Formats: sequence, structure tokens, C-alpha cells
Amino acid sequence: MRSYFPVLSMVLLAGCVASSSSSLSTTRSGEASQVTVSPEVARTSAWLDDMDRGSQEIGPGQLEVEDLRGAPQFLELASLAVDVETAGPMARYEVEHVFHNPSEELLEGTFRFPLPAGSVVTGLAMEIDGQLMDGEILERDRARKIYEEIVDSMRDPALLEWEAGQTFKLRVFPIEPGERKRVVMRYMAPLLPDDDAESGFSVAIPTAAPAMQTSIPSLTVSVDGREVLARQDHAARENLSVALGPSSVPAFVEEPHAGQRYLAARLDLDWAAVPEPSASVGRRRTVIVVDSSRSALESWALAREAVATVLDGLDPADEFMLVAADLDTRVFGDGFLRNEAGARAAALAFLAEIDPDGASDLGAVIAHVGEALASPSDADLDQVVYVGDGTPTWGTTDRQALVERAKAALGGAPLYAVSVGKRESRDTLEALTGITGGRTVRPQSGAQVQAFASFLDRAPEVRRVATVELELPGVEELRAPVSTTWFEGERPVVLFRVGEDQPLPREVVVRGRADGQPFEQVIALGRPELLAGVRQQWAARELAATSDKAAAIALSVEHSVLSKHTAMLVLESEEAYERYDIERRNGPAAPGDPEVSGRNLDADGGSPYLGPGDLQPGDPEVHIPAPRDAQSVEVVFPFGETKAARWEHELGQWTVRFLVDDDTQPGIYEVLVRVTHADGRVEILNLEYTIDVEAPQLRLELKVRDDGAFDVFARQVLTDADAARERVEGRRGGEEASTLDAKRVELIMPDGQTLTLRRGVAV
Amino acid sequence: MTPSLWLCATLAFAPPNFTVTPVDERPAREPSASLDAEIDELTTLVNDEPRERGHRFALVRALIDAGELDEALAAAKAWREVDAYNLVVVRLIGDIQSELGQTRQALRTYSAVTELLSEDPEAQRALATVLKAQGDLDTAYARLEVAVELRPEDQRLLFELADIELRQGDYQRAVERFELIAADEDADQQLRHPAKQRLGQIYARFRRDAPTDAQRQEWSAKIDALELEGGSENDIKVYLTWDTDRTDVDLWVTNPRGEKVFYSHRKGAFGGTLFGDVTTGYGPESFTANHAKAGSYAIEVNYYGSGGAMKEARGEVMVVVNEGRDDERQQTFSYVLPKPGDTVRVAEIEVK
Repeated sequence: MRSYFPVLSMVLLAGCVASSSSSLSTTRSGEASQVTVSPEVARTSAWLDDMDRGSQEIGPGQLEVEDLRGAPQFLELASLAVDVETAGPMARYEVEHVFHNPSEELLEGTFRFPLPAGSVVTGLAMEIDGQLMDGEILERDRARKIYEEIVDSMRDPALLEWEAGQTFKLRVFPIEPGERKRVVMRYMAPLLPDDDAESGFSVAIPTAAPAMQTSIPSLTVSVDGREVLARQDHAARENLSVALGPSSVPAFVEEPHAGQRYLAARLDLDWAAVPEPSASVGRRRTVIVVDSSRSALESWALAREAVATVLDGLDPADEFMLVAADLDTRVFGDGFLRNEAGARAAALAFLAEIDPDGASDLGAVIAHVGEALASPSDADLDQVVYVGDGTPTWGTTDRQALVERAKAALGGAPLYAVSVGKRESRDTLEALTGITGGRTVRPQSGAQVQAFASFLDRAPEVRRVATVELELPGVEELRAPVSTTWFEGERPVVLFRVGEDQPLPREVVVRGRADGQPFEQVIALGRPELLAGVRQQWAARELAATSDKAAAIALSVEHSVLSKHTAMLVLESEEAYERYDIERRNGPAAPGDPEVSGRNLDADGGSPYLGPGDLQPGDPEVHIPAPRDAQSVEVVFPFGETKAARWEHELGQWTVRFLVDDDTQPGIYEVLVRVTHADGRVEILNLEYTIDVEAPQLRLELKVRDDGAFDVFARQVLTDADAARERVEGRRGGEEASTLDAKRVELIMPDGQTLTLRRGVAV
Repeated sequence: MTPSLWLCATLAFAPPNFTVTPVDERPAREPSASLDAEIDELTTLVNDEPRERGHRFALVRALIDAGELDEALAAAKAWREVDAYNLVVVRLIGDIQSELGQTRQALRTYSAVTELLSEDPEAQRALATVLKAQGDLDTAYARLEVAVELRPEDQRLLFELADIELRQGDYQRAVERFELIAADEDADQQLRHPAKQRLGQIYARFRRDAPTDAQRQEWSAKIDALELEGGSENDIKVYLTWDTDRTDVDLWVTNPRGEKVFYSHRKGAFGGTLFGDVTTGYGPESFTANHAKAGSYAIEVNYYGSGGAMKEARGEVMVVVNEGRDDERQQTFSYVLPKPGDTVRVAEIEVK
């Protein structure tokens, strides 16, 4: 039976603060709710996007440790701050996690961060010895070598590596008892198509409270410099989705860098000018080819599930042919079969008997399918569905030769590819599906396979442009969208680069075939809007296209975009980077992109140092030397509260006040100060402050003067705690100790007289 | 010339007649009490330590030796379940299937190497050896091309690629590759010498086919320039190659007098010289008999030792008779030696 494609529900999140250019909604993390949508073809982009997106489990990162018995457990995520900046077709994310180790044990942990499909990692910072250290991208083997060299010391480096799928992992050691460990991930992710948003796009925010804790004590979210959410004890088990206004998603954006102009243009076709499909969709013949080669073994269950789902999605009047292909080509039954329940069950049993093995002779199976489709039929439509990794390992392995073979053999039948298996040859699959007017999808769940089946059902009725080619006059270095078949509603993006002295193209010419006829449309570009992050998008697309390892490493390092050939290494100090001859591109002095640093708050002449003088006694207040024009200054207190600082005109400083509870234990505490500058840069400061509830102890001394009178001297006795505090806070010039907190000393004499001592110099 | 003298001259210069006979010297596949006991013991060891490859390998081999091929196949597949990327077990399964007559299934099994170990040039080379043994030179060539792409600096791979080109009759490309190896003064002598030998064979062929005397002389000059021991015309030439690194496989040629020419006795008193004793892997080694004596030459391969516990030795022996002459013939024999100490006779050459 045919069914409509389920899309994610979008529910308005009440109670959030929305900016004028964005609205908020939520999507449930990890699952897609089943709702029926109208069959409007305008939904196509959302269908395809949901199929491509992979798992929706893009909540914040987790820090897993082992308890004393060796059992895994997760440290509490004490605070989470997500800062999102749109950057044309993508958004830049900076996700700051603060994990708390409540135990008295020194712990080692593994930080894992899942990313949405299509994302690229651009940065990582981790707090080491109270300082947030930014990582650097290095060639993977070199990074691992340095890591291994240092790893046995008591202060380990951190190495961020791809783990599996879209998950990255980072070893974290040590995590001191009571420590609040800060880890900041930076990445870029595609905008989400969202028909409910005015711009047609939204951004997904990883705010779902981790399953192992009831809530996130402190959560702040900002989008394009505006705070859209600030909550204590955020308990929602769902991610936030923020709908974007048109001004947030310009169609043409640019980032100049080092004599080059990096540009991204969204290509919104006038779909009304694209011919509608003329073929009526009655009975279909569907050939399903399943890759049963050795590389399919690990994904065999998903492949079989995909076949079952595709078969279920076909109409009972349709015919299907099931082919298992490896070194040999095996056809179930006797060619095409009516899609009846018995035939489907027998076909699936046929697959269940197969033990994936051998090489993959893709050319042979294409020829075989071609012969099958050439047989007489009264079906209205033929289509081919390939389930596998698309990696030819036997016979014809040349991609272009396979494309030519598919074009000749399939007789106009579109080839759709469901990419499964870890040895995916996406380029080959895209080339095969592109030339035939089909589409490649890579599902990671049964729900996505179901989505594909629904898409397959409706695809013949949707306008499409196949074998798309782009022309940008005067531009040589362009990266077209990976898919060369565009379906109505899709808004593909082309990335390109020109020299800064070159003129920009004014238009993009889109050529292809629509309903079997040549198609051409010209899209005017207008003036690009300047935005950071376009260069990294270009680099990511370039990385995906290059097979040259050396070139990929150079691109990755130069543009700070993590690739499969590189890793991100965080060392404990600037000296350590120097020692290993690692160029600091993301270090404290690095210009450009959003930074997390405690050292460069001097843009406005303010001191980068927060000393005890910035904390006031009584109802303490913190003075932050941030520039007056900063967008926001937030202070995250260790007890979970986040307070926004205000600009105090009288003081000429950003200031925040807070209360010290009566039951607060003496000790040294830390606050995080997060400054969002006018230009969107984010700066982080650490400040330690001391809670000292002990009254000062004084030692009195009487000295007889020459005239017979007495001088009374009172000296404060400095305790070990005071000494420790002094080591932290330092000593201000000319003082004997920074911890002389006896502000006034009065002597009450036996006769009731009160003598006030004046401040003097120790002798 | 008198009739008797004429007869005498004919006898003196009559070319020898060679008959090359393959010897299918497979080890006996018979159960025995000692093998049964060994299998029981190994089965226990495998159950106790399922990830210990040595036990797995020994069990499969013992089952093969006992002739229990179905059980051996099951044991090998069970091994592959926990050790999917192990070339040894993949090859074992293919071997057993071959012995069971499941030729196509065996090829399917072998071909999985392209997916399991796609980035490993040694695995690709090993697959090429299997394919060559099955006579599938085209696919073997494709695998070697992949191996060369993965390790282009490996001249041994280039040598083998040229060897297939030679067998396929693509003499021009083969000559180009062999000439590169022969001219490379940095190349290993153990590779340069057989490259020159092969060039000598091809040049001699070109000389035979040359239409003019001038061209024939040119080819003769090129052959002379190779400075081949015994020239380019020999009664018997035998090449040995194998496909496993860090192994020492030896060519043994026993001449009609029972004299064995091998690594410690390179020059036979009755004729024939061994060139190259490769102790670390791959070969080739070669035997040359410029003037073969009447009688039987036995061609054997001995697996002397390896650097690993599970290293089998596999490869080919190429026998060339009447090298460089109009009636030159080449035959290739593959062999498998499961463990160090094994010796297999692959061919006999009857000289009359």
C-alpha cells in the first residue's frame, strides 16, 4: 500500500524568548513522529532532507567516565551554552558544555559528540588547568604520534577523532575531583528546510536534556547574536528548532580571505517553468538490486529491511524483480513477479538464505538489469532500486564506464540508490542515479527507509531536473551540489571561489533534462552578503570531492575543517604547541572566526585580568572588563545560575551582582564569563573567587612609648587558607598580603572606651 | 660425405626432445588415530581460545589432512566469523571449496579479498596468484594493477605484471616493464637477473619473427648486451615465484643423475645452475640448463621457513624448454605448501 511520507512534527515551544527574526519550535530528539502531510510537492525538499539527515540524535555531547567498579556512567552536564550564527546555507555552532565531577576521584572520560548529517567540525576547545585551550587540526598520523608521545604523562593531550557515523570522540584526562570540565565543540551544519518558517529554513539546536539527568541546570541559546533562550533546570528531552527569518538566510553570501573570495549561492529554481512529468503513474515494474558482496555483510540486516520496505511500498498491481548481486548475479524466481504477499515473503526468504560474500561486479548486474527491462511489458513505468554501497570491485570498476553502461542499459528507467554499508562509493552512486534521473539516499534507520519508500511512491509525479550542469561565467573553481537530479522544492547550493580582483558572475545557468527534454534556466545572483563561514563550507565541499590525501590534508589544515585524514589535537599549553612545532591557527592570537579565549578582551582597552578587586564585598558584584558595545555578557556561577551582566554607566563597567548563601562552604569557586562582542565573537573568561567566612584573627601587641603611653598594634594572622588564596589571587603592589581583610579594628577598653586603630605599615 | 658420416653428424646435432609432465602430488587425505587425537585436542583449544588464530589454522589443516573437507570448511567458516579480515582463512575456505569441486563458489570466496583488504597490496597480489592458478589471467592482471597502484615503487609487482603481459602475448608492454627493471641499477639483482632472462626470451622471439637479417642482427646485439649466463638459448629454464613475504621457498631441480641443484649446491656437476636464493619472500629463483642431459629432471619446491606461524607458501613454477628457439614452450604449475618443511614435486621433464 502506498503511504505518504512522514515528516517531523514542528511544535511551537511556548515560553521561549524569540527574536524578531526567528521563531522557536521543537523537534523530538531521536524519533520522528508519524503524521500525514498533504501531498504537495513543495514538501519534497523536506522529504529528501529527512532521508539524508540521518539520525536526529544530535543532542549535546556526553562525557562518559568509569566509576570505582569500572561501570560506565555519565558526568552531569552542569551547563550548556549554544551559540548559532547563520552563514548562508549553513549555520556555525559553538556548543559549550560544562561537566561536573562530583566525586572525590580523579577520573578519565570519553567525550562524544554526535553531529547532524552534512556537518563539518571546525573547532574544539577544552579546559586544561583552568584555561580553555583551542585545538589544532593536524594530519591524523602526526596528531596521533604526538598524542601517543604525551599520553602517559599526568596531563594528557586530547585528540578528537571521528568514531563512527557522525560521532566524534575525545579522551578527557584528568578530570579532577569536584572539577567543572569545559568542552567546546564548533561545527557547521546545514540549515533545515522548514515550510513553516518564513524563510523556509530553521536551525536545529542540540538542547535535549541528556537521558541520565533530570535537567540541564543552566542553558542559554543564542541565534545570530540574539539570546533566544535562557533557562535554569532545562528538562525538555527534545531539541530546539528555531525558525529563521528571511534576513538570516541570504541567497548569495561571500567571505573574502587571503586574496580569494569564497562564495555560496542558493539556487532557487522557478519550478513553475519546469515541465511536469508527462508519464501517468499506473502499474510499475521495479527491479530491486541488492548488493550481496562481502562488504554488505555488516549492513545486511538494514539492506534486507530496505528491500522489505520498498516491496511493501509498491502497489499490489506492480511487478518486481529481485536481484542479489556480488561476483554472481542471482535473480529470485522467474524474472518479474506480481507484488503479492506470498511473492514478497518468498523474495525476502531468498535474501535471508544468502551469505554476503565475494566481490561486487556492478557492471555485470547493470547489464543484467538492462536485459530484464528490455523484455516486453505493459507497465507504465520502469524503475530500478539499488541497495548497497555502490563500490565496484570486480569487472568494470571505472565510474564513467559504469555510468555509460547504465545510461545505455536502463532505457530511461530512473535508478534510485539506497546507500548502505561502510564502504560507500557515494560518487559512483550519485553518478549512476544522476545520469538516470534518480536519487541517492543514505538511510540510517528504518524510519528513513520508510521515508524513502514513500518518496519512491511519489517521485514520478514530482517535477525534476536530471543530469544538472551549472555554468557560472568566468568561474573555474566551482563545486556544484553532489546530487545531479533536483526535485521540486529543493534549494541546492553552489559554492565557488574567485580571485579578489576578478569580477563576480551575475548569474548561474542551470542546464539539464526535464521530462526527457533539454532544460535551461538562468538564475540572477545579485550582490553577495558578507558572512563568515563560507570559506569553510567551500573547503568542506572541496574535501568531499578530492581523493588526493595530501591535498585533503592541506585543505583541512588551512581552512580548519576536520577531514577523515586529520584529527584535532588539544595540548595543555601554548608552550606545548611550540614544543611540537604546531602552528597556532586557532590559538588565542588567531584572527577571524569566533574564538574562545581568555586573553584577548583588550579590544576596547579593558584589562584582560580579573582580580580580587573586581569582586566587591557584601553583596558581591563582578566587574567585567568587556567593551561597552558587547552584545551580551553572561556569568555562569558554579551553583548553576547564569546571570546576565549589565552595563553600569556610573562605573563604566559591565557588572553583575550575586548573593552568597549562608550555607556556602569556604573555598575557591570559579565563574565563567561569556562575552559576545558586537561582531559576534565570543570570548570566555575564567574567574576564581574565594568564599571566606572566617573572621580575621588578630594578634595584639602593646609597646610602651618613651613618654609612658602605649601603642597598640594589631596584626592579622594569615592562615594556610589565606596563603592558598593569595597564591591564586596574587598580591597587589605594596601590600604585605592580599588577604588582609580586616577592614576596621576597634579596641573596646575595660572602661567602655572604644579605640579605633588606624591602618599602618608593618614593622 | 659418406652415409655413415652423415648419420653421425645427425646424432651429434639432433635437438633434444622434451616432455614436461605435471605432477599432481597432493598429500594423502586420510584419517588416522593420531590425526583424530590432534583434531580433538585442537577443537578443545579453539573452544577455549576462540580468537587464537594458530589453533584455528591448525584445526582446519588437520581436518583437511584427515580428508574431512566438509568439517574443515565448517571450521574455517567459523573462524572467519570471528576473524573476517584475515586473508589466510579466506584463502583456506576457497581452497577447500576448490577441492570439493565448488569452483565458482571458491572464486566468489577468493574475490572477497577485493573488499576485505582493498588497501592491502599483498592481499591483492595473493588473490592474483590464486586467479593465475585458475587460469584467469585477465582478472589476475586487474588485481596486480590495483596492487601496483597501492605500491607503485614495488618492482616485484611490476615484474609480475609484465609476466602476465608476456603470457597474454602483450610483448611490447612486457618488454617496457622488464627493460625498466633490468636498467635500474638500484633494483635488486634477484629481480634484475630474471628480468633480463625474460627479456632474452622476448628478444629471441622478436629475432625469430624479424623479416630481415639486419633486424635479426639488431636483436642479437640486444640479447648479447644482456650478458646472460648461457645466452638466451637454453634447453631448460625454470622460474619459481611465491606470493608470501617473509618466507623462504626453494627451488630444487634434481637432474638425471640424481644430483639436486638447490640453494646450497647451485651449480650441478651434471649441468644446470641455480640463480638467486631469496630468503625473505617472493622470489623469483631460476634454474638454467644450457645443455640438458638425457633422462628425467624433477622440479620440486621446498618450503624452508617463514617469519610467521600461519604463513603458507603459494606460487608458481614456470618451465621453459627450448628457450629462445622456434619451438620454445612454456608451462606454468601452481603449488601450495601449507607449512615449513613441506616439499612438493610439481613437474618432471623427460629429456630424450
